[in-house]
Amino acid sequence: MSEIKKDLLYTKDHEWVRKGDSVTSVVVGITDFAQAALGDVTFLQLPPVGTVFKRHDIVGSVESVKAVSDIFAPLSGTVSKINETLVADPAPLNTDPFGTAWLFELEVTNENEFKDLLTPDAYATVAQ
Amino acid sequence: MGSTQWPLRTALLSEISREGHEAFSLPKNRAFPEVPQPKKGRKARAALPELSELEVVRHFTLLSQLNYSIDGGMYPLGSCTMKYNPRINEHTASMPEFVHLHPRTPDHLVQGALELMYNLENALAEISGFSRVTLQPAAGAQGEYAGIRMIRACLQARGNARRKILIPESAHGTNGATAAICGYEVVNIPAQVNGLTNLAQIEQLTREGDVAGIMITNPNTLGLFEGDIKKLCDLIHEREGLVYCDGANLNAMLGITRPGDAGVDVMHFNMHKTFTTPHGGGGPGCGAAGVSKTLIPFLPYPTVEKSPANSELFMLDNNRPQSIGKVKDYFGHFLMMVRAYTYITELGNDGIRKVGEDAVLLANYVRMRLKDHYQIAFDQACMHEVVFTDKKQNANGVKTLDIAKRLIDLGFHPPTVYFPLIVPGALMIEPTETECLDTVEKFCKAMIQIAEEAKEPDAFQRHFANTPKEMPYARINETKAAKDLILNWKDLSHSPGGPSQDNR
Amino acid sequence: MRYLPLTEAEKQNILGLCGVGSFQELVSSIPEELQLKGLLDLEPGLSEMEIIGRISKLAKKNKAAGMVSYLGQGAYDHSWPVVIDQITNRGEFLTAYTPYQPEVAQGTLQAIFEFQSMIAEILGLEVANASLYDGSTAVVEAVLMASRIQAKKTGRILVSEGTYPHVMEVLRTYLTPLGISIETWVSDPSTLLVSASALEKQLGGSQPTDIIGIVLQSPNRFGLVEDWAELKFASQNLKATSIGFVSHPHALALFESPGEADIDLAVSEGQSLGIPVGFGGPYLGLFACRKKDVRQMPGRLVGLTEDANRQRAFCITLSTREQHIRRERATSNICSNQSLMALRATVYLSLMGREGFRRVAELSRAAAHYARQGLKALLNKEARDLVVVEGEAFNEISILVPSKYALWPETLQAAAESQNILAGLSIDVPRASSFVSGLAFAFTEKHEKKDIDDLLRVVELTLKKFHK
Repeated sequence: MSEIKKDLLYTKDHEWVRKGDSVTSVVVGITDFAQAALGDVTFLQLPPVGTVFKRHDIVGSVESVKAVSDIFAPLSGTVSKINETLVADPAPLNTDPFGTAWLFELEVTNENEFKDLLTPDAYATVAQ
Repeated sequence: MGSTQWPLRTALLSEISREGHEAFSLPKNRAFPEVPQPKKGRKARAALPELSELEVVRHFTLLSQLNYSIDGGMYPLGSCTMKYNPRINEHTASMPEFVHLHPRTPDHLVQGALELMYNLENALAEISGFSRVTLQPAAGAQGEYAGIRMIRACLQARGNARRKILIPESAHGTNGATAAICGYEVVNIPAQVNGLTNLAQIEQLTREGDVAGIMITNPNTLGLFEGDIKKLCDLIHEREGLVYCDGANLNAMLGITRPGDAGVDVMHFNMHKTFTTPHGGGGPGCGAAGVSKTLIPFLPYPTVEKSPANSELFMLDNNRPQSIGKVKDYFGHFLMMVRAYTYITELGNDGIRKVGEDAVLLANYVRMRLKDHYQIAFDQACMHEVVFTDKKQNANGVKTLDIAKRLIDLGFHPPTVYFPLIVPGALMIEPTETECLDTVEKFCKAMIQIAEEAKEPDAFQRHFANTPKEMPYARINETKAAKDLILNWKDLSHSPGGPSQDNR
Repeated sequence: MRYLPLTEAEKQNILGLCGVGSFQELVSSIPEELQLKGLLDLEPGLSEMEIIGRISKLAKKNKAAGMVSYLGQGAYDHSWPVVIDQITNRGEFLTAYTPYQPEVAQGTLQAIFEFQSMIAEILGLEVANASLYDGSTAVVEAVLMASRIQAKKTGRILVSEGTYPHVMEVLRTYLTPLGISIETWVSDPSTLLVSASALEKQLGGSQPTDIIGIVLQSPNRFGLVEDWAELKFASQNLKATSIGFVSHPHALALFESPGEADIDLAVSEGQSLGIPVGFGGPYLGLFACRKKDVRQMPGRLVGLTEDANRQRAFCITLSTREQHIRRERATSNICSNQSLMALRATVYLSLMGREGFRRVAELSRAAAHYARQGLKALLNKEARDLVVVEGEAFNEISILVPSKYALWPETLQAAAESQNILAGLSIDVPRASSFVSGLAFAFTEKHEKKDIDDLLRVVELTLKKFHK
């Protein structure tokens, strides 16, 4: 059983979203299920700060030896921060996907989209 | 593999290199006048290693001992058709009158080569039921590319270019990549429960009229014959599309059935699978493509033709205005064509039929021997390969990868694993017809032993952890390779665990 | 049948095990109408003696075999040490599968790592891949990589006028459906070389932003060595990726490598590295780039690592770029490399080594220069309107043919044929040239003085006859 944190929201693409410091900012990462499916992560590619995305756009990718997974924008917005330390060494994605291995922060442009994110229980049925 | 009395590893050429050693034998000069130094010469001599001939021979001999090969053992690799590479092929392909032929030599001086190509094309056309064959593609993936390009050219010529190609989820990775680089949008056809394509689904997907065609594999990647193939081809043609068939699994059909007869428009051949051109550790392949009459005008140029003036003579025809062009320079892998031609000539029509039959029989033997020990993906008679999953073993913590690595310790190369992607933990087994029943039975016994081991309490720790253990190399760390990314011996300052100087 | 050991008795056993009465039942999933009713319309199988006899007869129909060849233009009839065949014919190399299970394929993997290292060294860049099909498709792959690096899906590429037509044809074939158009980087008709300043003029002084990459072939098809610096300037000015296509790797034993000139991507046709001309294939595509671009690089890559016992080992790496994982997002659809040919090249380079590699280049170049000098003297005497191309050359030289002599090359080739000589290849001249065609001759370490003197004699004879 993969770990699912109760204080986060999720997407069906196995990403988590946490409300950030301000009302319009969120932090995004990949879930325990995702990292387990990938195996040992070898490379991470994130977009430059300032890039604007629509919900569901591909923003980057996570690579392991045997697979590549796209990272999607869970909400529409602008990338305000990326985890540079993680790009340099992506290993924490396997060990701490909900904590130090956050991927990027997003300044959200359409608050209506929040309602389409999955609750922990809803995600639990996806992450089987 | 390898005798234990010999050193099991060898250092890198760069480590064996010693200034002043040499292994070449060239004339000192030819009494030509001296030539002035280049104006923009290379700044430093290319730092190539310096070794004596014995060091080179020993180095590569030792390396060869670390390889598993068909000559050394069976490869039950599904979809790879790792059959024996007959040595007569090597003999004919090394004839100096083939080896030293320059590709731009005028036609009248290379009649033997052209005749061989012509005959090979005809033989392949007869075997597969197509109207014509091109031998130009360098490998299966290029044959695939040529095929999709011809479809594209044909539809454009009809004034009805379309944007989408249908590809079943079970397809080989090259199919999607090929469609993409031909400028098509890939529409994935989700797999059905029984693994076969579903006509109703295809009917629905092609209704819009924007589908150029479909890329199918027959037998499919589960080793099952697509019984609806003719209906599928008819449907696609009705919708004004064309059908591409991935020929990787042709071995199952040799002498039994022909894709061309079912209405397939183009199919690539993997000569290095079906027609025994050697794998050589990953290439060169040889990827011919067969086409229906519809696609003949679009074949890559040049084509090999009989001379219109004299039917005893062969020529290369570059005047093909509707051709897709050249997918590779010159004519293809000629020296591989010699091998394939030799093989087909040796088999003859009776031998070809026996290949298809024996391939299917042996795969079904494996199916019956293993279906009580491994969960079979689809429980019905298979063609030349059979697919199992690791479901039974996984329940006790043993996965496909573990089974594969354990099999190495029992003396066999693993089967194809984790493909097709639609079967979780897939194990795809293709014995091929060149293995005798005793060998296939030995393989089955090894698989059964593994299945028994996987049932035991604490199975993973007892039998599967840290496999392979019996080989000169234990489990190799692929993650570290991707992280460290050392791709050139120049990057080596110190290499841990390299062979000691004594082992040079 | 020697490759089909299953006996009739064993066949019946298997059918019994499967619970069917006949093979027909086993393949009942094949519709009746699609099952072949009899044997294929091919001959029955032949015995070994008969096969060898038949194929030898075909081989002997190749009258070109045994002729002294001066044919080049992308394939070069170099010699190679006979021990290469002995090594690469070993079953352990010949019949090995792709090294996806690294524990049982260290032979192939280490050899590829060594290949990558030596090719990177020759081309002058940090990383080389495990090889591509041939030089032409390597150029195509370089252009596709440039398009990824530039993040420009469509646009134009510039290709130097001195590039082989067959490379152009392959480029056109691949790039047409992708919306990438090809423009010629015109060479100076008097020098037959390109320059960045001429390119600026050619582009009308504009600064186009849609140039994805620029390809420069050196030595070019006239045999002349181009200056990589011109490629560097041009691509800097146009903010495009520079692609150096080395038509003949031995040239880099003597001349500046693309890497030394800070070119972005270097590709080459590696056939001359111990691989037969073999009527066109299989050949060997070489590809190198800087380490920072390696994730955009096509083809297989072998990396160094270790096994569980910390022994040094090798494995295929970064396969996430490849088709079997990325599928339609792959960097290319290439599945195989030319492993066995790469092995030949690896063994060739180990045997030649630093000195031998250079010696082959020097001998080839010396032969070409001797021939050029001889031709110059001859043409000066016999046919002033035929012009020998001057300039820095490697192993290939050319003559420019004016309309007056348009039919002479054919006469030469016919006369030479009767003397058992393949006297060069007709080549196109640049659009702006006042000549109608060219004739190119290639030389290798196989050619002796007397061979070239024989060639010059035929040239002289045919010229004399032509003037009558």
